[in-house]
Amino acid sequence: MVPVMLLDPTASGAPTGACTIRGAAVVTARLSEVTTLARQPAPAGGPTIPPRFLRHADEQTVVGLHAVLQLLAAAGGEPPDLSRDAVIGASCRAGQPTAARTMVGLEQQGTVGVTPHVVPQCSLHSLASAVSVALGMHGPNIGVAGGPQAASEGLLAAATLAPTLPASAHLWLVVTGWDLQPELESDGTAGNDPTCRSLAVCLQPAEAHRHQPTTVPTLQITPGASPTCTPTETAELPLWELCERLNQGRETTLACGLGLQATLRPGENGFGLPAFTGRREAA
Amino acid sequence: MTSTPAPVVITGIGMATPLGHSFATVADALLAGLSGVGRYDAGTFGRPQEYPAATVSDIPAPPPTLTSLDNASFRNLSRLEQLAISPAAWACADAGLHEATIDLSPDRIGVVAGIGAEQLKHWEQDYLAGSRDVFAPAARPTLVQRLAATLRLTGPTTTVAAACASSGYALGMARSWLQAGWVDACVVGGCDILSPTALAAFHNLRALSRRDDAPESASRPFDRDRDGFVMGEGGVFFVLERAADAKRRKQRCYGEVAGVGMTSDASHMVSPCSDPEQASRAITQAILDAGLTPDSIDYVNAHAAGTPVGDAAEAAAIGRALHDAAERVPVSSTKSMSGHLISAAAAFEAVACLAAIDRGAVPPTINLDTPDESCPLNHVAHHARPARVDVAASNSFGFGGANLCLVLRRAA
Repeated sequence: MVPVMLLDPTASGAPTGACTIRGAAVVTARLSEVTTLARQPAPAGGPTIPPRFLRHADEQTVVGLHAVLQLLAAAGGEPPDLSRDAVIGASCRAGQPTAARTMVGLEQQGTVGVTPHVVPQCSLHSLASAVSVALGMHGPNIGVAGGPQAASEGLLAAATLAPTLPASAHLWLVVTGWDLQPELESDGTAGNDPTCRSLAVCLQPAEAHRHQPTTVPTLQITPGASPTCTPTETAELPLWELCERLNQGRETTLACGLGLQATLRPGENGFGLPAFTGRREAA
Repeated sequence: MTSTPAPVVITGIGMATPLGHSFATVADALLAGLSGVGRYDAGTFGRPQEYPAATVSDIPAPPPTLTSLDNASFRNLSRLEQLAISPAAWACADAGLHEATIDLSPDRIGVVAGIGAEQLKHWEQDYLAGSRDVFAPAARPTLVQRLAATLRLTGPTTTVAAACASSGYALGMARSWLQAGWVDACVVGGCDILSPTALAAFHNLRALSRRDDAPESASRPFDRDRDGFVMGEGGVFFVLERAADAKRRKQRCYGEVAGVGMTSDASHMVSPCSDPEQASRAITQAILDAGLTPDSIDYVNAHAAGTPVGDAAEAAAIGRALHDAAERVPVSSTKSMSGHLISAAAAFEAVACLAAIDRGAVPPTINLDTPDESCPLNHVAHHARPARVDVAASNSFGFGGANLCLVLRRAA
């Protein structure tokens, strides 16, 4: 039984746009490897997930959840209480292989050819919901984006939501996408073997860590982002490039429309990404 | 030391729904207890497949001053685009955002769209039209980006999804942007279309009503003989502004988005959660966020879609959240009339709450012939009930355990 939780009385409910980055992890898998990854148990040292939980999941959900599991495992120690945590899932053109099979099934067999899992598992909410369900997170679970601005929209949504959470809660931002979108044949087989990539970031509102030194990595939303912004300030920075910049500890700014920008600022140890040294490739 | 967030109000409404395309028309229909449900053929590839469903007819073209679209160009858009652009543009017109005297920069106007499965809908419509984008998708901007471009707005944009609660979460997101001072106005809402794939998937889940012979009576939330929900389509968008800005502009305020509560069941990806705890907590959060108590609630617009487990769990959640007030507070599900507008449902049901506030009457749950004993609430069955409504709560729940409650209050 989870205790009844109310909004944090110390939070104003209005986002300030400042969050502390508590950790991050990246997981990649080739299209041909995702089924194997879906069957793998959670990495040792972290929470477990129900067996076969991912059997109907979309590829981006599989790598996204495994990035969260990787980050939790890398943190070590006692399994944390995640019950107050919230999750933002920002995917890009998720659900394509299942959608393709569904279209073929509908054409060939009619209604009976449509899997009932296509809506719950291949919609924009599915990634966030899977993380919430798998790990028992009772804070909000929200899908955002769906297109090439997934990282930008995810950061903005995370900075919006984080201040409304209880001070002890974490917000998990999971950004996913294909480096190249799968090319499928009409029978559903793949004509290429692209990489599916996920970045999981664990955030807390900066107000919850006033005692922390200013050298910890942060996410900040600020006015800005002009029409002449530099390439790294565009809203459509490819996910692989964003991951690479974070891995190198480089400050990165993404436009959120013309009026706002999201800046990821490294701390004294870069972004402190333990999972970048434990990158989880599918077996 | 924290400051009180600025009140956020609704200053514009636009919609295209099975019950009408304006606030006045829809309010009239809801209070008259009219059904928008009929028989719908979702057949594909030469196979007929009928369902009870609520469709939108004659989607109005957007006002010409707001977009560069002429009528022919608008009719060439996909149905999902039409159900986003038309209501969003009419909401902007209603709020006076098109007036030359307004001093809002396009950079300071955001757009938030609650759309749960835009890609699936696009791939399906494309496939049914004979194309095959689903096999090798081309890069394309998302609908919310196209919507913002059509409305010539350049502020932040995002698509928000929480399954059937999507547009409610979008309202919460837009309210937060305004309270943070990130935007000065926000166009926000949701849209969805009837889709053969979604209908088939829900049918195969046994989530849809199978009363094919009597579509108008198929949607029967809280009724003992309910057998599933009736799918609908539509688009509902609002313009949100800080109350002080709306007052300065002397703009009509339909109501305040006073409180938002969001939780997750963390129970199952598909099956509704029979434990009402997290849904109840969302209602409590929204009431507290509005600075109110359960005694302040004058009306609850229930999510109640007509599913056996979901309706009973929601009744328990309402009872738990409202405590003693649950016996007094009238409850209805307008899905009995509109069908379930999926991504647009929460926005449509916010309109139902605003109609109750505006008209001084609570819309009914039609088809509620025999209230289920497992749903012990103060039901408003069949006919609207006159009542002064200053504060209304609207519940929305979705796949993946998403729970949302909005508290809407008469604007000061």
